[in-house]
Amino acid sequence: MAGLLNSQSMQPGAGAQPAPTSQGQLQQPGAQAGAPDKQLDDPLLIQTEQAIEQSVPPEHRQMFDSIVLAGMNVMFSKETSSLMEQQLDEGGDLASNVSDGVAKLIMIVFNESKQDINSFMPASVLAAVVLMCQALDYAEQTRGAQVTPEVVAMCTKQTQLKVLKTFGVSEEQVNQVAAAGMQQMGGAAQPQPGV
Amino acid sequence: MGLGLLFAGISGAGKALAADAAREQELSDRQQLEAQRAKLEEERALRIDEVRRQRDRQGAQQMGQQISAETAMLQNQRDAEAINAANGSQMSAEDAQVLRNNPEARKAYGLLNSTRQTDLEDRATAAEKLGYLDAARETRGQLQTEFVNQRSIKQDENADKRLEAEQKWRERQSDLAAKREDRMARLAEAELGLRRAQAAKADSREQQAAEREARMATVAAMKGYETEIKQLAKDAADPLLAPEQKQVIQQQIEDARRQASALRRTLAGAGIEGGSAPSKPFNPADFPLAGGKSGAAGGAQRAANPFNLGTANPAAGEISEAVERPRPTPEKRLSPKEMAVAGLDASMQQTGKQIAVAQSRGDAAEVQRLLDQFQQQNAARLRAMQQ
Repeated sequence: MAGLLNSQSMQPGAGAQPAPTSQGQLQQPGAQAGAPDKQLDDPLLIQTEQAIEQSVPPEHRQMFDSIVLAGMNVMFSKETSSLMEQQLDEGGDLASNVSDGVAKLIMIVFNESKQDINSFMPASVLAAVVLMCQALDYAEQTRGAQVTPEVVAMCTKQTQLKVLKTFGVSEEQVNQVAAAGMQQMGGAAQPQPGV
Repeated sequence: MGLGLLFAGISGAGKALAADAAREQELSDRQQLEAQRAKLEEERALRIDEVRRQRDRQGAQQMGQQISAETAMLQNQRDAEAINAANGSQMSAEDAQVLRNNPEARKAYGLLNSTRQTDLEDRATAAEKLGYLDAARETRGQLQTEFVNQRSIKQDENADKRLEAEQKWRERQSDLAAKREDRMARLAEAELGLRRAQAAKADSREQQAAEREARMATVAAMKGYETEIKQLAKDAADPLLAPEQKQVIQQQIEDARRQASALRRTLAGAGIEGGSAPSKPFNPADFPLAGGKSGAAGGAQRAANPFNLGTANPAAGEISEAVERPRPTPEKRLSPKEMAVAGLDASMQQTGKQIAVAQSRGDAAEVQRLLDQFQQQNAARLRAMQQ
């Protein structure tokens, strides 16, 4: 599944199994210095995206991919990219702007897709993180924004909370679910990527 | 039982086929997904490129505006300081802003208008002050290029001016030479006229006219040399002429001075200054011809006998001793009778030399003609002596 980020490394017949990739394979050969790459530029963001891609459950895969594609279409198509520009130029810190923008984007995609919320919401939380990585990379390349591990961590947490909030899930409910999960696993719950 | 196995086999095959179809569909969906993702990645790269270019343009524009504003401030500050220094005022840079586009006011305050070079220099300084070192470097490079171009243009202009100056100098030289020839020709003609008048025993009125013409021709020749010296001195001071040309001019000045000095001595010896009337009796020997040809070489050497009295044709051969007679020295004051005799002597000597030349050439007709002329001169001399 991580082959989505690098169409050249996609192996036919790999099925649903995620193809392991390394960071070096994501760089397109012959890319000119200073020219924007077709993939993310920041290794931290690449790593975050890969982790999310690998953690998507098979039953949510299709929905996940559709949400990511729809979100990227809104972010980067010539007709609608101005929305992202406006969001990034708003005052305030980078993490708040990006997380607000991604939450709004997810809501737009949900409204347009007319999907059932139960099938949409789980995939959307994961897809939101991928879209967040795309937006942070864009801000870094066009505005010189400083994307540090702290910024990524904070932005990931805020993005997920804001997306859940748009679907009516409060932060307290999230904390309750997280606590219950940890209890169930005996305190050895696998930490969510980016939180 | 066999049928059961058959049905089981068929069912299994069917399930396998269905699974294969599902896998193929999944692959197809995956490829389609990847294609869409790749397209969106390209769009992302395009948007990033567009935004970067736009921001670069805006940045450059903003930088340019900042540099222009800082440049204006520097120039205003300089103007204000100049005015304050001259008038003891306390004008600020903001006050001086109103003078920027007012040429009359600037002139009234004695401020120089900025040139392209000073503008570029100020822009480079402003850029450095604002920290835009690349822009400053580029502006200084442009300034240097303009300096080099201006220098090259100036060199070409100077070369053209030098050529023009040289051309004009040559024209003046030619003009001076022509005038000098005219003067010398007039002087020679006056001298010849004088001798003819004396040889023909013309009356005193004609002799006086000839004397006056000889005097005037000498004065004109001397003044001509003085004018020539002034013109040559101006030429020598021309910075556009080459050093070797100036050496030629110096030589010409010296020659002209010698010639003029000889003529001045002649006139002083004859008691004549410039165009004033003679103060003593006329003596042809007092009017030596200073330079019988164009050019200033050798004039001083002929000053002792500048009118070439008694000298032969320069191309003449051996002089016949029969026509050699002692010549009166210029210092001795002769009577009119003696002057007439001396003039005829000189003419006879000249004729004698011409005879020798004609004889050496084998020109019998010319020899006969000259002999007739000699006899006439001799007869005139005898008559003059008997008076």
